[in-house]
Amino acid sequence: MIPRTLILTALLALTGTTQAALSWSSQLPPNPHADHAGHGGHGGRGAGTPFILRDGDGATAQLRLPTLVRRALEPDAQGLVTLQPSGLLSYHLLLATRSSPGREEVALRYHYLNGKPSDASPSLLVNSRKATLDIIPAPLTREHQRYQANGAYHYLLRYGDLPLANTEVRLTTSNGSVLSTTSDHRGRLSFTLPDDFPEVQAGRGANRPAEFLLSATHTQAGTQHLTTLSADYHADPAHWRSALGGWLALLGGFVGGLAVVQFSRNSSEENARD
Amino acid sequence: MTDRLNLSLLRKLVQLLAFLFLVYGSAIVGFYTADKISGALPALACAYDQQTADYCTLIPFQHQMDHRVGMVINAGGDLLKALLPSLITLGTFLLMFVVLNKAFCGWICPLGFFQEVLSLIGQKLGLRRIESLPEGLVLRVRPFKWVILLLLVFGLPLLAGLGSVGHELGSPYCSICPSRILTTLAAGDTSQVYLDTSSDGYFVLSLIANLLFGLMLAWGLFVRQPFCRICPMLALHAAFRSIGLVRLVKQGKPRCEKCGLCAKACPMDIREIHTEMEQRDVLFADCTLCGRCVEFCPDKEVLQLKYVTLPLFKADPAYFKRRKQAQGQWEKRNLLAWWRKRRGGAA
Repeated sequence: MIPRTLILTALLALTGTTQAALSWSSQLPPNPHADHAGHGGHGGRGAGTPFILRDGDGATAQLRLPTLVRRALEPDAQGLVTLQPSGLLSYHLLLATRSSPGREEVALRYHYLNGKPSDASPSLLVNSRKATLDIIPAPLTREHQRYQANGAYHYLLRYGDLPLANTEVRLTTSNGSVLSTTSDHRGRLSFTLPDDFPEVQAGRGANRPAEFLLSATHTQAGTQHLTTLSADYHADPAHWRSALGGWLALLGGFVGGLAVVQFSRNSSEENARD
Repeated sequence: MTDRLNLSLLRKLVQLLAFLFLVYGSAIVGFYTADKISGALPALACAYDQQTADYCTLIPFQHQMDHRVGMVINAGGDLLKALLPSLITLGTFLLMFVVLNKAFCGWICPLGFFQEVLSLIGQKLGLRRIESLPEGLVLRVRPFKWVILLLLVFGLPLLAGLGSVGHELGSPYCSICPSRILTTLAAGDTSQVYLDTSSDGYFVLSLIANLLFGLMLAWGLFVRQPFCRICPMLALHAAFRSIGLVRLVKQGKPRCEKCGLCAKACPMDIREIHTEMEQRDVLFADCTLCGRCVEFCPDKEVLQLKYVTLPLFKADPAYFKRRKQAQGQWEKRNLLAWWRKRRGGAA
């Protein structure tokens, strides 16, 4: 069992501290009804998707395609990068790195883009070497599945080519929550995303997605490795979906179906008697 | 076929394997590979099931109408380019379809298999089943599959893309499809059984979905293949059935007029298999190529399943005799009969 402990609901100041790490975040649309992630969480078309590289001074950024082809990214002064379609349909990786003596920082973010189907499996991208300390989604979400509050998601922590055990990984959200967990002996860890949206409106499109950030630190051979992995997540649909109502409706259909069978049988028997 | 193995049993085995593959297949082909097969097999394998190895072809059709075609018509643009993904989806559907024709329905579809299991449960419980629906009812129900295909798979999503109706009607068929509920429940995920209160449209669609699934559960115990009769996939198959390589052919004989066992065996109540005496091609729009009509035809080679010109399975008097006997014994064994016998014995 992977230990999972809710440490505290963070104060805004604490969240601000966490945001200081090298990390990617999406530039949220001004209108919460504008579905910036496109249908089913696999990216919009045409106009490009904006991302911000936080605390990116001195960092180099690149886009890694599903085929592992690399394209340099040039964030502007505010760290803004607009991701254009690569022509390939699959997950892409936004990767930022910064090295200084005794310190190696990496920021990761996976993003689904539309295009022609790619022969490359996403496993090629997620398992490719991109950082000495890597947080690997295990797995990435599939179509019709997005990260959402109250959902449990799994990751693998890897140092070099080996799983990294017993290492703390922190999760912070833009809604102010902070959680922490420790990787198990095989480097695995999981988080249940907090249900921390302050005012949930009914409907998926009515709620602006929030951001979560996983961060892990590991020091070895005098070098501190700091890696972040970010993604957006959505309000739990259970807020506007009633499971009990669904089961009752299903039961109603079943009972109604039995009644129809009985009624039609009675009618045909009466007709036969007449 | 041996005494023990018959076409129906073989078909059930294929259906079971197909069900396991389509519902839990990502465990076999890998989580990410499963994503890549999307849209290829025209069976009702559902994208909402996170363990599936395949997606139903109806999903991309709805999305393309909503997100591509409708939007391009609305905003202006290259319509041919917008239609291209739909044509590719249709192309992949047809490639698979040519190989197996409508046998996808009768041999592979997980929802079709589930309804056969329901039927089996009803029979084994000893419920008084309705073996054949009245002809008038069958004829009245038949157009519904076309209405659902044209309205829910193409029409409303296109209107949603045009902005004429709300976005909740962007994928209305998926919203009511019983396979979405079945395959997710089969994968241990109960999240698709819900009433959505976010808008009137979503509420109505989610209500219909659950009622329809409940109805299918109840009717499946008494009636053969209740949902298949209105399934838009059946209509999509029917539209292209002339290009499929698997055929159902008939060489009618005078005895056929008095017989009618083929029509009684048909789970879709296609009485035309019996009455049709002129044309050789008896692959009707509602046929699922299950082959039961061939199994229960008592005359030599009157009905045949063929792969182009190669006979796959022919009607045969000896086979019919064995099959009828086996069916009779199978139907005698049920819970109610066992209970009555036990009570009778005790008395």
